[in-house]
Parts: sequence; C-alpha cells; structure tokens
Amino acid sequence: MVANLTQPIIEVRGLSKVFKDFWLRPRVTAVDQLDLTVEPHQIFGLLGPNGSGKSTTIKIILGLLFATRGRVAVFGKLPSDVAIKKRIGYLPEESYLYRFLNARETLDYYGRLFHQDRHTRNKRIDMLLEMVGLEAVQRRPVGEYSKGMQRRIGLAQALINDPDLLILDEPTTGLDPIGTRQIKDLILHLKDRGKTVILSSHLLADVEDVCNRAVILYGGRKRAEGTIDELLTVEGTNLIETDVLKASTIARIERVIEEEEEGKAIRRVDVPRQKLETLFLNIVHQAQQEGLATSGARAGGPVAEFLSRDAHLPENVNGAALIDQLTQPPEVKKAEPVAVKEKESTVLKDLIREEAERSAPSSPPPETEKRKQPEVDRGVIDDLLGGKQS
Amino acid sequence: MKRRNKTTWYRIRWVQRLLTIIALVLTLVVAQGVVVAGWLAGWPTLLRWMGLSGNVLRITAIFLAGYWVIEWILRGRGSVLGVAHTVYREAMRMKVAVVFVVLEIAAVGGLPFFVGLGQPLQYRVQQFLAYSLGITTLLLALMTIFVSCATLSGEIEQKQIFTVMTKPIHRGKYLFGKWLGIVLLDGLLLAVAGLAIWGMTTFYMTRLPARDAMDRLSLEEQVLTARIAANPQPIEPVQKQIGEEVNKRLERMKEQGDAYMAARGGEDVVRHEIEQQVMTEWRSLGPWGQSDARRDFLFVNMAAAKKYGRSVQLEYNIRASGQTADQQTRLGWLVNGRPYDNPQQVPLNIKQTLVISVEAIGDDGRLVLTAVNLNPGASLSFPAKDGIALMYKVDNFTPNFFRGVMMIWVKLAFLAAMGLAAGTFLGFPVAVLAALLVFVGASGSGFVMDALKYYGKGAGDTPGVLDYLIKVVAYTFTMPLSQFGRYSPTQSLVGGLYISWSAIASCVLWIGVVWTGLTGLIGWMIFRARELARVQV
Repeated sequence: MVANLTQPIIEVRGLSKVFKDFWLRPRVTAVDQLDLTVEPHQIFGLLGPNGSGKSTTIKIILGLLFATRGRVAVFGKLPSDVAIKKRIGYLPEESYLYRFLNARETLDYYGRLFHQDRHTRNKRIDMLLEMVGLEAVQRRPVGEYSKGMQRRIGLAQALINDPDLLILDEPTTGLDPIGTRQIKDLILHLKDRGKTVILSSHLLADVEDVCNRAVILYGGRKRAEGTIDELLTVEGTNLIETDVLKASTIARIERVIEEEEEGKAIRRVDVPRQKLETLFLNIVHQAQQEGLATSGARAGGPVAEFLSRDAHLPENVNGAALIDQLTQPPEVKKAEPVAVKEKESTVLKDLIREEAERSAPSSPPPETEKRKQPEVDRGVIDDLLGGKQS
Repeated sequence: MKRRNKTTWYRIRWVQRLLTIIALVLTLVVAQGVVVAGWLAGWPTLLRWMGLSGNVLRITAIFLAGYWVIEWILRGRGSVLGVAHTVYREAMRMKVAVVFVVLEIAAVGGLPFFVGLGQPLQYRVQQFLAYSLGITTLLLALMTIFVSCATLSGEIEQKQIFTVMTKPIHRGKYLFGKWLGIVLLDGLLLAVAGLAIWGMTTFYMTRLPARDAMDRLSLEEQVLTARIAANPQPIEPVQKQIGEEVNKRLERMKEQGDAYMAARGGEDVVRHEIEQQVMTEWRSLGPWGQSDARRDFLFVNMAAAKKYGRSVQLEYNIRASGQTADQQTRLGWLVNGRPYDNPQQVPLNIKQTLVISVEAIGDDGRLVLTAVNLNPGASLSFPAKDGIALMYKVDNFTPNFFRGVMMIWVKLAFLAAMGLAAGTFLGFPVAVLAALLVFVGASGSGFVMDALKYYGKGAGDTPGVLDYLIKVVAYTFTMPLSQFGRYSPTQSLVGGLYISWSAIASCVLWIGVVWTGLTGLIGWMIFRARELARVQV
C-alpha cells in the first residue's frame, strides 16, 4: 500500500489530554494544545524527557487513549477507525507479550489479527525471526526471553503487516548496541522504501541518527520543531577534518586564516576519537566472524524480504528483473535533507560524548589542549538533560 | 543453516503428530479391550474394575482427541479464532485445565467410597450423581469465572492489550473471541467430566450389589432413566360436575355487581381463581366414613409408558388437617378399582412413591388410581405443586445425562460472558468477586424467590418500611437471575427426570442467547467506551 502523497499521514490540531481523578477533577495535563503534522516518508522524532507527553500523544494517535480536546487524523481518519490499523505497526515502550506463547506463536497470533493467510504468515514469520536473530530460539516461551530478546520479538510483531506507518516508542530500550544499530538501520531502510516512521525517544543519539524531522516536547507542550539540520546547525562556525597534521602545518593554516579572515582564528585542534558504539560494534562483528557461540539472541539477519519489496508489488512476484527493481530506490521520493548520520560534531553528539567522558575513568585532558565549546542556544537541550533520565 | 533448522522443526512436528495419533488409537483399542476382557471374565468385581479402568482410558483418549480437535478448529483463519486460540492456549499452558482435571478425578474417583455407604443402592447412586454433578458444576463455574476475569483484566493490567488493540480487530470481535475460547475450553472439560461421571455411574456404581430386587428395580426405573410426570384429571362424570360447580360459583359472584367483579380483576381472573379453588377441593379427601373419603385420579395418554418401561411410579405428598398420630395417617390405594396393597401408615409432607406395573395401563392408555382416606379424624389433601403425579419413562439415562451436561455448558457460557463483562471495567480481584456474587445469587435465586413470597407474611408479622424496602431490593436483584436457577439439570438427573429438547432449546434461548447476549452487549459497550491506557506522566 502506498500512502496518498497529498495527505499528511498524521495531523494533530490543538490536542490536549487531561487525566482526571475518580471525582473527575483534572489531575494531570499530559498534552497541552499540541499541533503536529507528519508527512509521508518522514522519519519523525518525538523527543522529550520522561513525562513530556510523548507516549500519551502516541496512544491517542493509536486510539488507546481519547483526546480531551483537539483533533487527530491518521491517514485522514479518526484513530478509532479499525481500518487504518491495517497500515500501522506499533512497538510500545515495553514489549508486552504473552509469556505462555513462543516467538513463532506470538507472531502467528498478530499475523492472524491482520487476517493474513497461513502461507503468508509462515513466510513472514520465518523472515522476521531471521531478521531479529531469534530463529534458533523460536520455540521457547517468550516469558523466558531476556529483555533485549523480548524487544526484538516486539519489533518483529510491529513489522508483520509491512506497515505504511511504523510507530516506535523507545525502540532501543533494553537492546544491546548491535540491536540498537539494527533498529536504526531498519528505520533508514524503511525510509528508503517510502515508509513513514514515528520514533519516540529521550535518547538523543537515536533520533539524531535516523530522523529527518523532530519535535521536542516538554510538559506536554511543543518546545521546538523542525528538520534535524534546522535544529542542530551551529551558526558561525566551520569544521575541517584532515589526516593528522604537523604542528608547523597547523601554525601555517592559522596564519593563512589570520591573513585572509580578519579577526578569526582556529578555535580548537583535536585528535578525533571513534565513538564507543562504533568500537563495540567492530569487536562484536569480529567475534561473530570468528564463529564464537552464544546462547542468547544472535546477530539479526538481513531485513525481511517482504519489508524490502516496493510497497506496490505483490509478495509472490519473483524473478531477476524484480530483484533489480527491488534494489532501486522508490521512484516516488521527496527531496530529503542531507543524511544526518554523515554530519559530525553536532551539538547533540558533543553532548553525548561529554556524557560518555564524564562516566568513563579517563584522565583529564591536558591544560594546553585548546577546547572551546561552540556558542549555541542550548536552552532546549539543557531542559532535556535536566529532565529525568531513564 | 536456516533451511536445515526449518526442515528439522517441520519433521519434529510431524513426528509428534504421528506419535500422538498412534497413542490415541492404541489407547482406544486398549480401552475397549479391557472392557471386553471384563465382560468375558464375567466376574462382577473384575467386570466392575475393568469397566472403570477402561473408562479412564477412554476419558484420556477423549480428552486428547478433544484437545486436538479444538486446536484444529481454532487454527482456522480469522482474527476471532486467533483470539480464541490464544485464550485456549493460555488456559492450557497456565495449567488451569490440569488443575481442574486433577480435582475432578479426585472428586469423581473418591466419592463412591464416601457417599451413601450402607444405604440402598438407589440412594447411593442418587447421592453420587448429586455430589459429582454439583462439584463439577461448581469447579467449572469457578474456573470459568477466574479465566474470563483474568484473561481480559490481566491483558489490560499487563498491557498486552496495547499491541492487540492497535491491530485491525474490532473490540466486539476481540471480546467474542475471548468468549469463544473459554466456551470451547469449558466444552472440553465438561465432556471429560461428564464422561467420568457417566462412566463411574454406568460401569461402577450400578454394578455394586443392591440390597434386594426392589432396590435394583428402583435404581433402574427411578434413577437411571428419563421420566416425565403425568398430572391427574377427574374422571369424566366428575369433570362435568366440576364445570357446573365453577359456573355456579361464578354466577354467584356476578350477582355482587360489575364493580365487585372489576375490583377482583374481571371475569376471567375470577373464573381462574374459582377453578383453582374447586380443583384444590377435588384433590382433598374427607375423613373415613364420609362420601368424599375416596377420590379417583385419571391418567390418560399413558401408552408410551408401556412401550419404554416395566413400571410407572405414583409420586405423592400428602397433608392432613385433623387428628393424626406421629405425623402419619392411614391411606389406601386402588389401581383400576383393585386394591394395590394392604393399607399402610403414610408419613405426612414427605414424598412417597408407589410402583405400579405397566400392565395396569389399559390399551387406550388410561389408568385410574383411587385414593381412600382411612383416617376417620382427619381430612387429607394433595398440594397443587408436587402433590400427586404419575412418573413414566420416555427415554434412557445416557442421552438424558448428556442433555443435562449440555444445559450446564450453556450456563457456563453465560458465566464466561459475565466474567468478561466484569473484566472490561474492573480489576481482577473485584471482577472475580462481582462475578461470584452474581453466580451465587443466580444459583440460589429460586430459593430466595420462594422465601421472598413468604417474607413478612408469618403469623403476627407486621411488615414495616424496612421490610418492604428489603423485599423490593431483593426482588430487583433476584428476579432477573431467577431463570438461571430454574434450569437445574442436576436435580432432574438425580430424580431420573426427563430433560427434553424443548427444555434445552429454552435454556439455549434464554441463558445462551438472551442473557449471554445482553451481558456481552453491556461488556462491549463499556469496553468500547473505555480508554485502554492509563495515566503515565
């Protein structure tokens, strides 16, 4: 199914949600006068600390909660309309699973709720189990799974219908870095296929890595909205990255800047470090290549074949010509902003790195090191980091 | 790697299925073999025990076969079956069914060694049937209430509902799927329990030694049977007299004027009251020596009784006004004008049974029984309800028993709907409490309704406002539930009474469709209107 391009996938206008107590007195305003528009093919980030109204907004969009005021349209219809749910995949903040079912039965159950025939279900379940790395433990009750494994099966159930709109609420909670990376890759892959994803998270790196648009909530209100570039670009600075230079070369560059750009100078010279996430991933990948065994979840396989197809093609179409077609990006594609993951040294990454450095037992940097922080408006970010972390 | 894993799983599954089928067939063969061996041996005790062990194997086979049949049905396409399948699996894997089966086996297997010891066989079997059916109904009712309350309120509490209700399934269909799963589970467990009780009765209890031939006959003709009651009517000349008497009394009332008649509810109501009055007088016997000390009771259309059984049973209950000694009186009976037996002392207000050979029934299906009051100091009367009836066989015990089990199933279906409805808006403990209250209230509604009729009407009672209020509240709650208690298959089976298909149809219509439907509708309306998530800020 291909979404109607002229119509927003989700439109929220003046949404408020007030929770009341037993005597119907207003107790908590979880969402306050929220306006949102999620366009087709967007990877839309819902950012905010705990209790900012992200999950409440998602639950209203899904019809699990009812709005106190305002209007919500999903695919142009009310959230209570059962028909729209055929096009939605949802991963809640925790994988609420039936402990007595095994992974295969769990996916089979959800597949049946989508009225899929047995053949389609079995095919998709095989692919999804392979994709999330649970093929070998598919007959174990999910009650015996670790949190990360439950998260993986939760993700698989959200994808069983090859949804046009995927709503992920804190998808990387409980996942190891490999699982986290896979989810990010999956989101980017779905984006390439023209799907729409809403990603709710208070983990800034998750959102920064994959989203092309985000809204930041605090206390149920919208504090900022825009593309990631718009939100993160630091005005008035440039970054040049090279191989390691001699001190004399750096001095010469500084002289050139002084000659050419009056009153300007190099603010910081640093040796780049790779991110811990990257180092970890490299080590694990190497171990897997060496064939070391694990009793837990294995590394996930490739993206399920039915999730790799162009949305308009039927499942039973085969052939080499089709493979070529499948590997091409979809024809209908809006101009996307510059891939976010390519950008380095953004404000959010710096903040994350600082967090990592604070917690790591590393020696303090030498005093001579020239470390100047970019001067940016960090009001919103400070709010986020000042909130409760979970 | 992937290919090999998949193939291995398929092979294992097919091997499992094949082994199950072989085990099933072998079990059935062995079960039948054991019964045949017992029969060939011809030794009562051996026959009894072999029949019993054969039945245990049959029950096991039926349970396994039923389990797989339901599994197969629920594997069909559609979201409703999907939900039903999950509830079914939940109950099976959470060991709910196992606990029930263990308790049931302990109860049904142990009861014969505890109840009615030293009593005639007829009463032993009756007590066994009453206790085993009662325990089964209670256990299954409790299980149904627990499972239905837990499955919905649990899913809301543990939030699995988030992932289910965000899939394309209507809330009504979801509720229906849950109900279907529980009802099928009930069906399976009831089939097993029913088979256990039936087997225990047929293969063990009835083969125990009876006290005498009469005891054996009573067991066969009054318990292990399916009888209906024929009510007596006056013989033809008396019918005419009664008609004339009614008209005469009605005319006398009319002479009081239209206003008087209107105040008593109109002519039809007055006629009905007079008819009741005259018939009550007709069922009364004057003291010995008076002209009305003897009364003929005519039973017609009894040809079917000759066809199905060896005897018919006159069941009566007598009251006396006047002089009686030790709550007893002397009463004699004539069958078609000939003395039945020597007149005997008969206890008052206790049901008595007179066994009469079917040979006494004429070819025209008529039988006249005459009661003679031999007490010169007291009048006797047969109450309108359960006062005098002739019981005769119309069907066998086995089909009657399974019709009774079917009735229990329908009642359980209602309990499942009620538990689910409670679970739509209440947490598990409160939902269970509410459902149990309704169940207990419904089961005892017949007794409460009878009690309410006499509440505040005793000698010297002066009902106050509070009494009136209590009566109104009790009526309000008991009235809608009274039908539940009215369908009582246990009572019928213990008394060897026929459970007709029309009674089953009525039970299905009222309890299975109207009540269950209304309860489900209320549950659906609440579930549809409620938010499934809670405040989390």
